[in-house]
Amino acid sequence: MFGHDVVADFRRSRALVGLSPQEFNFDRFLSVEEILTYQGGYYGMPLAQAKPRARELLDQFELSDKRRNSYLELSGGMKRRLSLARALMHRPQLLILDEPTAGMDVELRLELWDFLKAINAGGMTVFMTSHYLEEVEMLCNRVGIVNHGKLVALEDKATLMADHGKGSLQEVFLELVGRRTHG
Amino acid sequence: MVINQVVWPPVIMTLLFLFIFGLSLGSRIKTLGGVPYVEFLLPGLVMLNVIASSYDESSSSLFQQRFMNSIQELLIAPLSYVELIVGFLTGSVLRGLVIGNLVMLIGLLLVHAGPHDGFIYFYFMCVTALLFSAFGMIGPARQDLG
Repeated sequence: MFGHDVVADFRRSRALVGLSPQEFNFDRFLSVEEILTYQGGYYGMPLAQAKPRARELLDQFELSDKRRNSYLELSGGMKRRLSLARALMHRPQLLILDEPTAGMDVELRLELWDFLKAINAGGMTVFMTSHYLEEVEMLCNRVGIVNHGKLVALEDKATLMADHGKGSLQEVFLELVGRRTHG
Repeated sequence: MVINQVVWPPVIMTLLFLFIFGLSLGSRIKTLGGVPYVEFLLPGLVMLNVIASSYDESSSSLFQQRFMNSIQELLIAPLSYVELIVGFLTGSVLRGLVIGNLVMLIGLLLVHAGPHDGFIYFYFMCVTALLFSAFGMIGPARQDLG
């Protein structure tokens, strides 16, 4: 992980990673702001540092007016934004997103795509899983395809598509998993 | 608020114990080992609450965090297992101490009985809270995915 062994040097290697999981796993007893400041605390940020950072992220993700509420009072889109904000709290270098746009409305999905493109351009490595191949085709430089738990491809997107001579990632995927190509 | 669920039940239970056992039984049993019955009862009540509250805190915290998977936040953070356990134990011991001292305070106010030796009192309270906090973590830790 960026040169640090994940077992022996776990403190430094874990501090470089931010995770936004698929299922929401917030603590129901904490307010939105506390979820972020506690997260900062787990990564060694003192409260004096964590609080302004939390405020900054709440503003950025438009969650400021909900900062004293419990996460249960947030809509699905807001929870997803909170999950992202939490992952970014400690300024990681690798962002791991598990199904980031699953079940999202169109506007939020477009905003998220723009956001991911922007942070990626700014130097953040983004590792995401998705079932929406159009999204993967648009956003990702390198693509891995998993079929029944086995990695069947792991290449640069352009190479992958050229090797299979297909027009879209969806067709490559369908070919690799052995199903009939569509249409 | 969590405070309501955590503080009021032991307080009310202690008051009930003192009134029911202390007043009704105590009036019939004059002394036990040289002390009035209510004074005899009080240390048991304090320990009961220290044990129950410290055990419940670590047990319910760990169980709930594993069940809701909010423990994932802790597991991916750069914290060692020792730090995680110390964190859970500290919270539970603190709850045990707060509730235990609250019960002792009730005893002091109602029954005019207090600890004889402050150091021994705190020592046993801390050790008991720590022991039962640790016991409390065993159940949820061993359960399959909580």
